Amino acid sequence: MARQAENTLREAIVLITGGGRGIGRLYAHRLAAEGAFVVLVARSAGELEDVARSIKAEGGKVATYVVDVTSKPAVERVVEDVEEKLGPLDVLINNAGVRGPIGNAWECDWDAWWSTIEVNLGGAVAFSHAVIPNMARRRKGRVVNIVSEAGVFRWPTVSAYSVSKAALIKFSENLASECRDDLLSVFAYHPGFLPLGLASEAMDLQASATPAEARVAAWCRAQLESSGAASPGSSADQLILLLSGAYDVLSGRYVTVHDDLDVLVERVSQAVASKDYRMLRTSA
Amino acid sequence: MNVAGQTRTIEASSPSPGPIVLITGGGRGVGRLFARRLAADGAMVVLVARSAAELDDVAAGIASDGGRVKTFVVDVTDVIAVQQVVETIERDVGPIDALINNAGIFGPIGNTWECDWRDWWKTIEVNLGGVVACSHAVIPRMASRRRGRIVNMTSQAGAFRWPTVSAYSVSKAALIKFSENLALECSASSLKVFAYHPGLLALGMTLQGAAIEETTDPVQARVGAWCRTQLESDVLASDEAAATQLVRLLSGSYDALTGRYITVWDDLDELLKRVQNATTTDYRDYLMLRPQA
Repeated sequence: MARQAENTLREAIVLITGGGRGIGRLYAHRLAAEGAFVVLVARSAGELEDVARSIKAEGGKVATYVVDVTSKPAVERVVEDVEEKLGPLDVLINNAGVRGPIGNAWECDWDAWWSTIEVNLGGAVAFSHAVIPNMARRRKGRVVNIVSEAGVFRWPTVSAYSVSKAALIKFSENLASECRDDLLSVFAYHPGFLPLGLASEAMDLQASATPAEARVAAWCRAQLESSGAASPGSSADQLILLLSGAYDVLSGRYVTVHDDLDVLVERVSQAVASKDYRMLRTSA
Repeated sequence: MNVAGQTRTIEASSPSPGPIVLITGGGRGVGRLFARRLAADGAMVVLVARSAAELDDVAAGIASDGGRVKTFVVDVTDVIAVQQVVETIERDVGPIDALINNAGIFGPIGNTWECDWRDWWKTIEVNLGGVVACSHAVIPRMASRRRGRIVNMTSQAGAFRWPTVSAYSVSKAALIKFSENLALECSASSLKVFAYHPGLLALGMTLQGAAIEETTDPVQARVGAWCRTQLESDVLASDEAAATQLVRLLSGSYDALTGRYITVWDDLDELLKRVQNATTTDYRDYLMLRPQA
């Protein structure tokens, strides 16, 4: 049974962090095409301008803000400004993320390791902290945290990334429980392995010096060539489904591009108190 | 066996030195419990914490019981201070055989978006950052000796969830995943890493939570009531069981469980069997070895 996906995105105001490139850029184009007003935040003004120009050329509505997601005061200012000028945010997509250092944890530069946690976890929590109060007052809103299989399973030698994504999955789960009474939905979404953003950056490591980096690059290339890779189109389609309202019962869950959302919905109704960390995969 | 002319004083005056165990957050609660137990078992325990008075108190108790103990005042979120303390310990006390990353805080209580941001993030800095900083300082030395065990103190709140105590829950989930990654990274150096849940104990944070009583904040009141219920229930673990399980993990007999999430209630021999029988595809349950979690 295909769930009816009404277009809740027309005229919706959607904020996407890390919207200047990679997956953020992909989603920005798609959401704008669906009729949403997309608000993109990123560190690079040049990249933001580039994305905004091409969205406008396609007739989409877009606004951009240069901000570092690790600056809580800056995050608050952006959210205030957006809501004052454009109206209340309907959707927050916490997509900004860095891959972090590659190597054994104890051999990585400490600052590089910790800043991965600050960006990937701290940035998402800071934006949620700033955006949710208003969503809760309006009893309307959806939050999508972009996560990765590296947070569900593991990724030795890319530990800061793996740990940050595990933390973000657990954050999504707790947050969903906390804001359920306010009718908000929160999803931890794994967009799949895409020939974009962090994955393509990692592939470019091939000429690099350390064996750990070379291994990671080779692994990424193998993934992209394998049947495990996802297509950008299906990745964006799944995001649209999550934002449609038809799958709000999956709030708090880890959802991947490969999932049949209708099957997951059936499992939710069966496995009420399953302690599988809300992931609905009995052996996963 | 007595041999004429041979004295036994030589043997008595040179006891086995026992391992050197570094415990963070060793001034109170679970850290204090483990310090006393490991010292009683013959370890040289090195305790670090922020409070000099609490450290002095624990050290005096251990010393009066005949145990060996050293203390250092340090904040685990100060990466440079952590490096310096580890250098000092290795120089003045000796090579660290085991690191128990126990320092942690409860964090703010409330819906995430209603918590003070600095309190929320501070919880991540202490509970995750402190552990990673200590591991970062200690592991290179352990790896060069190809000898060492690390126990990261985690919680069921990290394996499952704890709405309104989200910073704590998230920090512990991160720590469980850190343990898993780290274990694989240092397996080639023969080091072992465990994520250990000591159970809910009538100690430390559980008591802290249970002490939340008269409050106008309904969320805080719920957490307080929940902790009090746990203290009265049979879910509560005993101090003895929690310490004994730690001693088993440090014994070397369960090194095959490296990278796993282990609780006070687990039968470690049963988990060992599961590891031997498991394939990666059977148990992609975050190395927790519980197919139904």
